[in-house]
Amino acid sequence: MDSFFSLFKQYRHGIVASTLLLTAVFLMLSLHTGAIGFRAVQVFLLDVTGPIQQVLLWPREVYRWGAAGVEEWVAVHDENVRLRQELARTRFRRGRLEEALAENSRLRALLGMPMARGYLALTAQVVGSASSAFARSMVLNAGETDGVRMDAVAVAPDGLVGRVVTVGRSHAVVLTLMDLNSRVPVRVQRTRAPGVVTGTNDRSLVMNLDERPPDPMAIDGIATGGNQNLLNLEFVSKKAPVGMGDLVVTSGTGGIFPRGLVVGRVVALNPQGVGLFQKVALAPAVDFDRVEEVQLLLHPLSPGAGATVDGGPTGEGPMPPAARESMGLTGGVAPGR
Amino acid sequence: MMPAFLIPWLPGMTLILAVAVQELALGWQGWGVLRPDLVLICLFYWRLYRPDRCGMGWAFITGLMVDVMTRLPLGLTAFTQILVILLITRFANRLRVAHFLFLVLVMGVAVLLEQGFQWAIMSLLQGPDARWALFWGRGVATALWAGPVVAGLIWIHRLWVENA
Repeated sequence: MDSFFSLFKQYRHGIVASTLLLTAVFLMLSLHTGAIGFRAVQVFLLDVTGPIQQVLLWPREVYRWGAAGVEEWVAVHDENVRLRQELARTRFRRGRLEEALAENSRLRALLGMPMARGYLALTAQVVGSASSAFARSMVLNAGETDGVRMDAVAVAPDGLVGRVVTVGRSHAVVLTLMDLNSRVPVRVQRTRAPGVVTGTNDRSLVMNLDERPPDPMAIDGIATGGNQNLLNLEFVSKKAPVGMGDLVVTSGTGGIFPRGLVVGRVVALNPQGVGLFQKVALAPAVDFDRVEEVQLLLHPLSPGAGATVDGGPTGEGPMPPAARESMGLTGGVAPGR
Repeated sequence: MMPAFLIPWLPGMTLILAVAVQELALGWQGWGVLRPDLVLICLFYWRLYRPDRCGMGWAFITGLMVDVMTRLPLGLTAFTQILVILLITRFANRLRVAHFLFLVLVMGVAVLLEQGFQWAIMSLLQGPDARWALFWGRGVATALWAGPVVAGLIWIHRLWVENA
């Protein structure tokens, strides 16, 4: 027994290192990110590090608040004049929109379709982003106590950001579109051709130059390497009409992403592709390196969901018109799935 | 100054702080490319100068924290950090007497080595794609930031020694 302990003492470092290395390998190979035990660990660590990040971001917030205050004060007169003009125009537009909404309801009723279900919105600040070269995720300062649930959809004013994959008590992790593990069902807005957008983790999308389309516009758009920040549009049939610059939006299938959220634009395509499908690359609508706040679209059926899309107890005010437009939200209700 | 019971936990606290700062979101693109591996700098320092308070366990725990926060496969960073720590331990006696500038270079190389290990494993799990600017930038950034970060750690270490 004594010799066993002395042996252990002698090789203590080696034994500890080997045990930890084997544990790490075991975790890598056996635990998928959705495992029950793993989720508890994720939530705990998120709750430990999240508040520290929020404290560390305090100077930036003070600076932004001060700078925004000064800018606002300087521009207040011009803005007032502009807003008065805009208000007059908006009153007219609102009347037309209300009419269109009423007409839409009538037509839906005629078609026997269920009414579109509304999503609730919650504004959250991005307090952390993946430092790794192999992942694209963000940490938000909103969690379970704010009503955030798994698979809540995150959007920025320019379009879709991703979906919540981990929820802590007061923080959550969003898997962005750019991550290799991201899959989003979409349609090309113009032609309604379906496809699936997948993340590339900034991989350079090399289109086969020998198979490039004859259209000179398309050749200009071919991504040939470098840190492109592009997305893949997969499973687009060779017969499907897709053109350069086409807008791609969420299709609403799959049950996670609501229909009509802007994902990106086609910047490179090879209609010949490989096998049955075209090769298409998208430029994401959102600049993921500059996202500071996101709106989380919460399904109203998820318990604890907080504010409406027009702001409320947990929201930070009305969503900007650009955001609403890009998200396809009108009248406080998102289009149906 | 600081409660006595907290003093031995200083390396651990600095490591957790390093994880939080390293994964902090700053709306500045340059930061993304030149983001240092603060955790490895802290592990490097404490492993050299207080190995009794910074064992493999801390490398494992902080690695898991980074994996969880970045949504990497759980255990990836833990695994590679332990490998790097093993290397540092192997050459600890030589490194302790080396010039600071040499150590800075070694830290940069250690980070690139860790990134290389991660790339090798990730290639097996999900293909060889990576953000290469971030990959190489991290080694450079670590070497550049090592000076101020280590100065901060030396200051904390001094407080510790004075308290003792």
